[in-house]
Amino acid sequence: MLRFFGFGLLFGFFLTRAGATDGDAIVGMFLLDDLHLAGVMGVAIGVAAVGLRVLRRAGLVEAVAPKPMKPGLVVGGLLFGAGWALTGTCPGTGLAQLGEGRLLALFTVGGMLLGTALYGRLGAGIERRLAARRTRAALDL
Amino acid sequence: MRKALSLWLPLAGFGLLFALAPTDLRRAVFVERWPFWAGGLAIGAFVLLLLRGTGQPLGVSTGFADACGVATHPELRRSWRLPFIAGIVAGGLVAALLAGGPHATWSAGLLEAVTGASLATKAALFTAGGALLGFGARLAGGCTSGHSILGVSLLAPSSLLATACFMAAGFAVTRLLLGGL
Repeated sequence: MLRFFGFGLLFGFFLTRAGATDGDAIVGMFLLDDLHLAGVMGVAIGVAAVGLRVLRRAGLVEAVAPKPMKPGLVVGGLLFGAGWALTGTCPGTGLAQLGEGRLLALFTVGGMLLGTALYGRLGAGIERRLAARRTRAALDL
Repeated sequence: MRKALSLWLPLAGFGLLFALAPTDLRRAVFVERWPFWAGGLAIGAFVLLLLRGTGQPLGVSTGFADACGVATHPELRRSWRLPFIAGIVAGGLVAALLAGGPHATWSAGLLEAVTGASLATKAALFTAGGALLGFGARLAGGCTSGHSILGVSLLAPSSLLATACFMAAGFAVTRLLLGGL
């Protein structure tokens, strides 16, 4: 378990040093004023994409299963994006912000726990309804 | 490369760098914001290190679900995600300490244009935003880490769509709040 704490530490350190925990950088990205973080994400995706293929071919890692398409993907994605803009934070960077002393992250992280718990209560019902609507729409076609 | 090295090699590398690097280099690594390519390289490499070292694909928001569920589901106490998210907090602290901090602040940065200086307003906005992040990530099946970094690097259709939604809503809400729309 300690190694997972160590990996988390490394990730939090990288997020902070990369400037990803600076809410203004996220707001700046959405205003198209400051594309630093778009660059960080782009390079990270590229490095991961190439690296995963190389490691996979060398037999050093197992294949990673892509996440499934699920009902709620679009609605959830839009809600997430709204939260991203309102806080200038995402789940990983909110945690690192706590450690850095960006104290509003107390509310962001508290809110994330609330939202996650709320999903635990309501999520299954919402996804059932979204799936049913999609089925009806498909039948109407 | 032995699996354990995925963690210990980078930790030892940064430790040595902090101890031995000349002042300019140490400043560039531990105080100044990294240039975008260095930040991206580190985060992209982290995806690989975590997967190689532990077999786990990167993801953060599921850790919040495990944290919420641990009170009622004791078996979640063994989830690797709990020490992982605790470690992310520690990583922010370590980064701040090595940079000469931490400097505690209640500032909302550019978003103060929306909230003003009132702490109560900031608390309301950030709690509401956090709730949207938490709820939305579960509904979408992942967040910026699992969908936008790892999933997009795999060209997974679900992750490409989720990331497009994250970006579209983020763009629209920011424009709505801070002008330009």
